[in-house]
Amino acid sequence: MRWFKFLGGCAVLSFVWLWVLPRIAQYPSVRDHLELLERRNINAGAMYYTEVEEHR
Amino acid sequence: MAPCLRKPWLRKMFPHEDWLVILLGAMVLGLCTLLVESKPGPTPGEKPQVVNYAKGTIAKLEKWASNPVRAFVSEDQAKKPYQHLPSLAVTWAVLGALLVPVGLWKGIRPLEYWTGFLVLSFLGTLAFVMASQEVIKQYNYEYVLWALLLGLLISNTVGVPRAIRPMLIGDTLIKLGLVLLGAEVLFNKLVALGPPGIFTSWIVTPVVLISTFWFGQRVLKMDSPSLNMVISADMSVCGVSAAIATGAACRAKREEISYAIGISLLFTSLMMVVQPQFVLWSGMDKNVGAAWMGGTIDSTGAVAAAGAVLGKDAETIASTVKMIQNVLIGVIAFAVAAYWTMAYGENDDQQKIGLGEIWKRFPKFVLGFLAASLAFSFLLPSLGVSSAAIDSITKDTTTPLRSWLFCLAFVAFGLETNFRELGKYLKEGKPLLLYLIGQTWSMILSLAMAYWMFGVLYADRVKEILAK
Repeated sequence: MRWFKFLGGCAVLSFVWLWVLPRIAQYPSVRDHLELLERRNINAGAMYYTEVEEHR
Repeated sequence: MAPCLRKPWLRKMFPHEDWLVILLGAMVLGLCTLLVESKPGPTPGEKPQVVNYAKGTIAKLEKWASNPVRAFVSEDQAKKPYQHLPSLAVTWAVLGALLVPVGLWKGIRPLEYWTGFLVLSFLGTLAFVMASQEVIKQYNYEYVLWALLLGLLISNTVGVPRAIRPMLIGDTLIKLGLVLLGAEVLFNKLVALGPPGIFTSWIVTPVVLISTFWFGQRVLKMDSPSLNMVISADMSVCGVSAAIATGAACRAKREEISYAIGISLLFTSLMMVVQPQFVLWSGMDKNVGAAWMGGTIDSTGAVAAAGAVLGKDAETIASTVKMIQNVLIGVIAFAVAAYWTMAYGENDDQQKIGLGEIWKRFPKFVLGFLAASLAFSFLLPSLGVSSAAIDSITKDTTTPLRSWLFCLAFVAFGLETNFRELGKYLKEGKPLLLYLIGQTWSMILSLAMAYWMFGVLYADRVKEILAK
């Protein structure tokens, strides 16, 4: 049962990361925002200002 | 049975773990500084070129869309597949070697040390891969969340093997990561926008922090002061990094830090979408709106992303206000550590405590954090180390190393946490209510200050700075 739960959790994570998220990225509004961040070289996942390119 | 690695001399030398952490942090920062060299420019009068011999040694994974293998392949050298794998191996080796003294100090057996370390590193790498997915990254769901999730998945299903339990040293990894973070807290960044930036960040933030904490204690009557402090700090200062720093300073439980980070990241992802749209819809001055977002959206990356929606100038203002607020983390962590030492000691008696007792209770690693900040803000520049060289030291070595330490720490936290312990906070409404009330209060005060500074008092000055 414990291994079943673990493998189930791994399957859910794999499904979300390998199927759901790539499809969300294809929505025009999401794509536009992703492209804007790419153009401006913005690291939206930065935890601290030293990870933001603009402040270097 | 394998011989125990514990060496009494190490514990004699460092009776408190924090001193060892400070020494290790100082050694890393010193070595990273020595590996950077400023060379004269190719022609006279040109700026000196900075050469960092350690550049690229600590792995930073790439953003990917649908194939996670792309996280290990840089687009610059697409012909050479998986070229981040060597730096990943070096990173694991550096971390493994760096943490050996910690293992010795804690008396962890070699087999347990290396088994535990490899499991943490593998899960940490997986967390970085998950955080590098472009949609996840876009909404600022940082690696710490996925590190925690992976740990939780294992500990609450198949359980944590006994062999790796001694290596669940999340608290130590956080302290070491925070000493390295100190090198990034540069006080010269304060003047980047002049008075409007300082007023918006350094007046509103402490007011919101103190008033939210007071509200949580006196009005909501929160059960845990440390959870109250961590939520108040991550909401008012700078999200995850503030939660980690204040959480360590007030000795918050790992579940409290994890919970605070979870709600902070959830609301950050909402605010970074809604707030710029509100600024556009309301017709608010974009500079005011950007300063407002910089003061209120918790996470640094999310602020830059939200500011970009309003335009280049807004992005600059928003992320600069946030940067100035980021610098506050050093003062806040020290103040929280000092306050906690006096107000919430191990013996919660109401008797006055002497200086000796204050010193005994004070979390010493905060001194390392502060010393690193002062060294990189004032000492190194006075010794002739250029700001470009300091940038290179942090960007190319200490920042990625600090990220790895935090990542491994949250894997360890996840592996030590039971869903039930975390669920207790989810069921209780007070922490969420505290966050919502504090954030609303922060938004009102920040808007008032942003309007006054960026829309009235210094509106022209800000435009002049941006024009430059």
